[in-house]
Amino acid sequence: MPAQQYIKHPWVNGLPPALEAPNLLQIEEGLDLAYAGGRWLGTDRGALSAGVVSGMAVTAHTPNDLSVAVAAGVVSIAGSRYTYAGGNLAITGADTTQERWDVVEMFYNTGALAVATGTGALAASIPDNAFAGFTIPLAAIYRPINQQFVAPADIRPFSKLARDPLSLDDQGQTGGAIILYVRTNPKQIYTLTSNVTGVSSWMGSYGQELTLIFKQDGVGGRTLPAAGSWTNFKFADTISNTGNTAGKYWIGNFINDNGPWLQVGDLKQWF
Amino acid sequence: MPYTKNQWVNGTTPAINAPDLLKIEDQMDLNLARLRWHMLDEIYGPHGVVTPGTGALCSVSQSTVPGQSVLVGSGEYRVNGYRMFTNGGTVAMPAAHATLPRWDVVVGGVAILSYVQGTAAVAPSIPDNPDPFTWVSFGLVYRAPNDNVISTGEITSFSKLIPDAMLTDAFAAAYTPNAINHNQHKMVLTGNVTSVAPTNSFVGAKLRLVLQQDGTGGRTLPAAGSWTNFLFADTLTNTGNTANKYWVGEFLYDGAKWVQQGRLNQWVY
Repeated sequence: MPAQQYIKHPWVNGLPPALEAPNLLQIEEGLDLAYAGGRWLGTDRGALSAGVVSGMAVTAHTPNDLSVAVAAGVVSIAGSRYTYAGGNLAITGADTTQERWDVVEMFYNTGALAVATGTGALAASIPDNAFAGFTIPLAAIYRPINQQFVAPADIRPFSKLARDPLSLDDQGQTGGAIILYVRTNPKQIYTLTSNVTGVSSWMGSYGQELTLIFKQDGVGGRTLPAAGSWTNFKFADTISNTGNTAGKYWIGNFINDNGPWLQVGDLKQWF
Repeated sequence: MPYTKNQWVNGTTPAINAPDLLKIEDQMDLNLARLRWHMLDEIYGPHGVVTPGTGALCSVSQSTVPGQSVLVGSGEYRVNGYRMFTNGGTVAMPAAHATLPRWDVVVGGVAILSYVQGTAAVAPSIPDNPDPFTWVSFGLVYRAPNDNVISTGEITSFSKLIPDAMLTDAFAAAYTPNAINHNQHKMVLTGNVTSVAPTNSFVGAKLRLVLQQDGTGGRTLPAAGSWTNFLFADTLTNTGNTANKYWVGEFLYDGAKWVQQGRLNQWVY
């Protein structure tokens, strides 16, 4: 979750809660989280996906000390994939007289974890992103005055999720009239167990990319239809079934122009 | 109710009282809800309301005859990569709670407009997205107790706006695609292109150019010498540039040159 859900103060007998200092503190923290979310999470790198694909949860170290544990996971960094093995990250000691907020972050360009250490204050705010556009936030950490360890309750999940840029969607074994469901993954592989009689797609969007991979099964000889049996595909090359022996691959790359899929580059046919 | 800030009087901070607290909490709830609803995106693909131009697409508004339903305007949106388009329609909202207020969210899914009903409470919160990978939020609706006539003042815009994956550039004879905001650009040629010079080039940038002839055709691209800092592996040609034909090329910037990747597909389909 990017930021924890704020629980409003309960009213009693139809009356709003008395406004007390602890309420104000909670409200200010909630506002700060919301504002920091906008600053940290609102920055994206153009059309490139960036964020956590899986895992990467930040938790308190056991036993609690001046570090946090970051779970293994996968992140998407500027359209590339980076796998983190998991580990501990040291946190700067707490201020002895003032509270503070820190942010655990991962850098786009190196995949390195770091801590953005906030500024101590009597009513501290979550620090700004000093490298906006180049880091992925993983969690905000509240640092109580002179508490020289990080407790579980001090950690606020604070991450943006992203799709996996490298995953390949295995559509299994098929043939006949194939309908491409391009939502789930722009890279799809089909193992042909019979001849393909037609290819069409469902809800491709403007500018969407598609890498289509066909693989011959252990028998081979499965054929692809001529371009005329591909609905809304525009080919620069002639589709060939030459060399379609067992285990061979066929790869085509396409881009969608609000309807037609345009071949990009050349087709790699049965290699 | 949708939040309105306290007005200052004669430059003096307004006194804080319990109703102010309610408004402050509403505002905070809205911002945190926006994060919860809008930042969980791109698990499978783009997620949100597509904004190719201007205008309130997929916007939520009061029904023509105010009642227990709202109108959703036409527009294109993405549900985790699915391309969806709604011609607009009516969403029948659930009945208001008899004694307590509530927040509901108007949403779009795959080929469906719907709502997510919140929990009624004396101080209600905006509900969470029960399935962040299925629902795209369009608008918030505050539901006053026992009020089944939804009015404009109770509707708040609440959609995440996303750009198209490919930027449509207006025709320019001196073509200057901006490398930093999109890595895919399309331009329909309504005249001859005299030069191509990407702006904001950076090391590692990728650029895919999709050029299409208009309905007239015969529009020409310049020779390689008029492409600023391009390194072509193929020879540029205008052969076959008849009406509606496409030209697709991919390039990678190495810090000095836009190096051609793969093969150019020039006016062949």
